[in-house]
Amino acid sequence: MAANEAFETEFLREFANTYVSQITYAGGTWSDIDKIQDQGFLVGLADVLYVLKTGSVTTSEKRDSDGAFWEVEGMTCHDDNLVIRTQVWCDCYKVRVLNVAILGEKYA
Amino acid sequence: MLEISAVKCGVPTTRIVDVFDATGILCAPFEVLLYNSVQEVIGEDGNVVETIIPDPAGLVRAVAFHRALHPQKLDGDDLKFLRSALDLKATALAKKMGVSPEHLSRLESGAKTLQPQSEQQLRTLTVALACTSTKAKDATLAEFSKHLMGIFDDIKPCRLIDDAPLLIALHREKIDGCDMDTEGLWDETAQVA
Repeated sequence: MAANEAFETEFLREFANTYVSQITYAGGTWSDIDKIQDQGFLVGLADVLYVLKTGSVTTSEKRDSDGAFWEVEGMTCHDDNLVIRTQVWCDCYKVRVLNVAILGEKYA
Repeated sequence: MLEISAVKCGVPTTRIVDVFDATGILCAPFEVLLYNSVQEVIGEDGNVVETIIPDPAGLVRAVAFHRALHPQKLDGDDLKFLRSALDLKATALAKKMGVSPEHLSRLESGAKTLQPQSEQQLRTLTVALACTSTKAKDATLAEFSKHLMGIFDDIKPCRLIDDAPLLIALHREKIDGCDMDTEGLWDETAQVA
C-alpha cells in the first residue's frame, strides 16, 4: 500500500470511530443499497459503518474545490466484500458516502 | 456540509423529514421509522442531494437495543441484523453465545430456532453492547450479565403480538444545552401517527 493510502486509511478509520455523526450520505446512496439487497446481497447502514471503520482506502483522487474522492474496500461482519465511494474533506473532518457497491461491480 | 453544497448547487435548502423510513438502509427485518430527525439537503433541481442522519452509529445501536427489548421472538433475520448492528463476526458471536459457528449459521438461515436460553443470552448481549462503547466488546457475557440481572424478567418472548408487524419508531431526543446532531440521543417514539 502506498504511503498516502496508508495515511488515508488511518484517517478514515479514526474518523469513522470518532466523528461518526459527521458522516452524511448522498441522495442516491439508499437506492444503491436497495439494489444490492434485491440481488440477495444484504447490506445496511451497520455494514457501511463497519467497512469505513475497518476497510482500506484503495484509490484516491484529489479535487481542489470538492475535497477528495476515496474508494474504500472492506468486508462486512457477514464477510461480504464491499466497495464504498466517499467524498472527503480532511480539513473540516467531513465524509460523505456517495456509493456502495459489491466488490468488482462498476459504479452506475 | 452546507457551505460545500453551496459551491456546487447554489443556495441549498434543507428540510427535516417528518417520517423517514429507515427499514431499507438498516437492512432491518422489521419496520423502522424515524420521526423529525433526518435532514435532507435539496438541490436546485428539487432532488435530494444529501441525507444527514444524526449519529448513524447511535441509530444502529438504538434500533438493536429496542429490538432486543421487544418481546417478539427473534428469528434468523433478526439474528443477522443484530450481529451486523453489533459489528460481530459469526465466530465472535457464536463464542459469546456458547454455540458453534455452524449452529449459529443454521440459526441465521432459519434452519434452526433459537432456544429460550440462547435467545435471552443474545438479548442480554445486544442490550449490553448497545449501551457500552466498542471497547467493551471483549467482555464476556457473564460480565455483562452481572450488570443486567432482571432486565428481561418481564419480557416473555412470543412469536406474534396481535398479528401486528413489528415496528420500531425513534426520534432524536435533544439534550438541553447540547448540539442535537452530535450530542442528542435516539429514543423510542411512543405515539406513532
